[in-house]
Amino acid sequence: MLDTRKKEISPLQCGFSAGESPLPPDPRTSPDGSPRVLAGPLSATGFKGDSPVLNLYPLYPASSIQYPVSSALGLYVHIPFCRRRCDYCAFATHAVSDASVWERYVDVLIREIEMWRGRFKAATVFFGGGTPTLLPVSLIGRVTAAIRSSFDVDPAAEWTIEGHPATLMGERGRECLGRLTQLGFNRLSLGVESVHNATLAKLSRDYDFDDVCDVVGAAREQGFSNINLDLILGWPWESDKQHRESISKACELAPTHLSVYPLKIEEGTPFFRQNVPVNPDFQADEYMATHEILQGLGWEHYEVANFARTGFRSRHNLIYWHFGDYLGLGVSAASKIGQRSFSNARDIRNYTACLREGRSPCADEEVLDAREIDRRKVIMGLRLKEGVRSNSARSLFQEDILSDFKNLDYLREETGSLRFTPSGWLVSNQLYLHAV
Amino acid sequence: MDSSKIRNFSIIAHIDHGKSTLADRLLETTGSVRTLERAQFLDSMELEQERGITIKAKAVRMSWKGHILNLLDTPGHVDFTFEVHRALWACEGVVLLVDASQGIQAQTVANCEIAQKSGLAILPVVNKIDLQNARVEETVDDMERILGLRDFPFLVSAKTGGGVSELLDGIVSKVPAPAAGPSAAAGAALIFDSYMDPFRGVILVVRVFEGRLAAKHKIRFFHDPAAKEYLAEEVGYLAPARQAAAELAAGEVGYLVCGLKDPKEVRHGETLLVVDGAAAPRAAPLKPLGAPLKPFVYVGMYPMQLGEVSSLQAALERLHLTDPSFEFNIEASLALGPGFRVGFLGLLHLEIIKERLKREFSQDVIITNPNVRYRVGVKKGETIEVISPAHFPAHGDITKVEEPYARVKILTPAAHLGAVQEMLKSRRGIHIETAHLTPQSIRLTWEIPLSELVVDFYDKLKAISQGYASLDYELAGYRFKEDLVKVDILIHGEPCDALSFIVPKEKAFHESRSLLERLRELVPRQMFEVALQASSQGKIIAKEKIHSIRKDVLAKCYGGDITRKMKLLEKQKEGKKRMRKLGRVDIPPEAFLTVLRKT
Repeated sequence: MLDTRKKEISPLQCGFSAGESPLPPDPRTSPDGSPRVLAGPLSATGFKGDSPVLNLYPLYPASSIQYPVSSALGLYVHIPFCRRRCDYCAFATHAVSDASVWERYVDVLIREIEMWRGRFKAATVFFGGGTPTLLPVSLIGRVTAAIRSSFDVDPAAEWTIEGHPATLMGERGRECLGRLTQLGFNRLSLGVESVHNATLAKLSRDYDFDDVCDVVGAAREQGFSNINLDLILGWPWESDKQHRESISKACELAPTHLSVYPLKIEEGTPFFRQNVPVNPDFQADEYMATHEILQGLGWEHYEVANFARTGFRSRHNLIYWHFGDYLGLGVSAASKIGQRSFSNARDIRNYTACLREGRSPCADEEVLDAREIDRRKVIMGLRLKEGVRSNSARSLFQEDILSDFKNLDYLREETGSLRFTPSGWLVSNQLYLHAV
Repeated sequence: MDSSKIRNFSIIAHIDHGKSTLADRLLETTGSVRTLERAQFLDSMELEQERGITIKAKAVRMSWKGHILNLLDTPGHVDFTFEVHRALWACEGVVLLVDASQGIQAQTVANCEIAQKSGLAILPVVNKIDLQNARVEETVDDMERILGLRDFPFLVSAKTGGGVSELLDGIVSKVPAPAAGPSAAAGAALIFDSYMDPFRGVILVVRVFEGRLAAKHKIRFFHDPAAKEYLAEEVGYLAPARQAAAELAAGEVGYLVCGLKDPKEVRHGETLLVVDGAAAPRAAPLKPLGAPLKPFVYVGMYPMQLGEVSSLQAALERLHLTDPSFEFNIEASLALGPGFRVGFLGLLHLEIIKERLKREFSQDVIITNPNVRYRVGVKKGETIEVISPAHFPAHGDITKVEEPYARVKILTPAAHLGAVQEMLKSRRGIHIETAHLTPQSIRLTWEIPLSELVVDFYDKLKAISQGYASLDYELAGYRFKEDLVKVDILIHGEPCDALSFIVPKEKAFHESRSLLERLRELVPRQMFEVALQASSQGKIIAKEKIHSIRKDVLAKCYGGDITRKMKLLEKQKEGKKRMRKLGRVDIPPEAFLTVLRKT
């Protein structure tokens, strides 16, 4: 799925659009301003791969600040490349199919990973994008090796990789999947988006539902027993009936986890420019239908948009929702360690340049005070089925607001906890607006 | 000063025909300002410059070939017709300016008639002759055919200065010199403008008609019942900066500083008398003062940010010193909190005050539905004036209602006659006269209720006539209206006083419906279904509803998103803060601004 979630960054913020270079232009090409060819080693742009770099990243917060980490953290690795950008996508990703660009990116990514050497334990590793499975497994392997040598990764860690079905089809796909399990990946998250071939064609996803079945089958055969499917609800051209079918069809594939997101038209995307209509009421109906169907089939609706079979919640994402500690690696990746919340440069050129010059790619950092941490804990915690302790919610919301929500059966309070009902999740922002 | 060498004149024109630009060129050509630091010198208020509209009349003294030319600038917009009259009292002639690309417009005709009735010399001038779409010959012909002006017009381009010297010569030769009057007469002058100077207080702009006015003179205002005496501290010319002089003699135009601090103490059109001379002051005013101008369009004005009412009050008070023609009183609204009921001389006047509040005082305001001044007879036998729907008596208590009318004069090409008449009819107009000025150009005179004129009339007129029809109006007294009713708007069962309006019964349903429809678009969906109702005379006459919000969620929220999503929430929260609360319903300020359009 790769291309549909994570970091909402528009191509404008990334500083370049599909087809453009994610790296500084090669000075040897196109002085006339015609489209530059992305080729050649990094050294051509002034980067000396083998130059000794002492005091690497002196400005990076990691070098000067001790992070109190009580337990292991979640590692997120961002791979910002796709075969093409989907028309609805606003994530930090670029349509790049040039292996040398990927390689250069992986080189700097590994530099970033290595600067954290020996500091942290990791409980989960999540490769997201973009489309991580677009990269050759050998490149992915270089990254996982760097991770293993730089972090103390729990042997029982959850290792997730996001994949675009079209990159995992056929014999080559089967082989890839096998090699990914050998690298330690034990959870596959597939960006299926829709099970309807007409929708998939409209989105130029380059696969049909049969392909998805094959990929899921191959993944299972190659050892992936934990498989998530991403679906999008609220395609304006799909009927309610078609949506219900999507859910059942997705279930037939027997995944362990389902993420179902309402289509959102983000500024800067082709869908935004085309004025693709979204009807919030229609989406609300589909959302509730999703909840009912999946609950009837024994699924646990454990987070706003996530469903799991028993024991298969996404451990990595739970770290976010518990507002635990996580470290984001790669362009635009965000981290939260203790009181510190920071994120990397969003522009891939800046990100790369920083690391090549031995500087921190961290673009902004804030220190959260206790109150802000509590606020975020409550707001993130309410995303989960279990909700939050009533008293912590009461420190954030006034009683009359909570009663209003309870009266509408948007919130329920039981045994000292406050939690949203599914229809309450749908309007949860309306509660957060009242946070003091 | 030898009065035979003085020429007092004004430029009159329809809005945007280039009056201020011509004034600048006259100043430049006569060397009154060496280089124009700012274009349109007479429009000294920044706002006037931007809108290209002259609001406040000012006088400027220029020299040309041994003569003194006093240009009394006049406002060019229909809301300020009274200021045109006042400035003309002080003149012997006018330059009647017509834009060659626009031709003769409603205010051209109206202004020309005023000048003719006042017996002033009229110099016809065709401006913008260098424009590509200028229709010079046609305009020249029309000036004779429509306005009856025999003299061949001066052809000028105020922009380039072409023809301006000739025009100045024409002013000297065609505008009569002011009458000198008996030299021994007691000083008498007409106050036709004033402005505030932060250091000197109120500066009066005067035309001396008899005797002399000098520093140290004791003066009083003719209509001041207390006959309070003031000391003339300083007199002089506006050239255009103030230039002190020993005295102003009969026929001269200039300024007077006399220790006035509050502009409300003196009215424009007032006669000023010198009372310490040998001769007895005159027993009659130079001009009848008439009834004081009363605002006739009233709106509720509320601070955009709740709790800023005291700074808005301070701003209104300061503004009032520079423009005493609007009035304001405290009022309170359930939905909008404390604010003011503010009366204006027209909608443009309202726009100008609103803009000045923003620019000069950083005050963003919410304006409610314009209301006119109704006269309502109540059972107790008295007649009350109602300037706010909030004070409209209950239906059973009303014995009769009179509403103010305006006499509108519209100049329209014959091609748009039908559409214009339709519009006037739908606005409850009464036909007075249709005059064919030329086969292509028709002047309609209708009387329409002022309430129909103050909401969206001008824009509609322009829209239906492709911009060609032009408008002039004057107040035309009150007419009995059988069944005016008040419509209240209820939002979720709570009356929203700021949205109430007064309307003829036969239009109540239609206007309520369209207001509710617009409201439905403007009020965001809430956590619960919101009923919108219009009620009149105890009955619900129209209904709408706003469905409850069903989806407002950050569906995807992962690590990287958290900080950004929190920021999005903050932004959404900021938006909510702007909202006004009526009961439990959040209403954006825009809802009060934009529901006012007519359908």
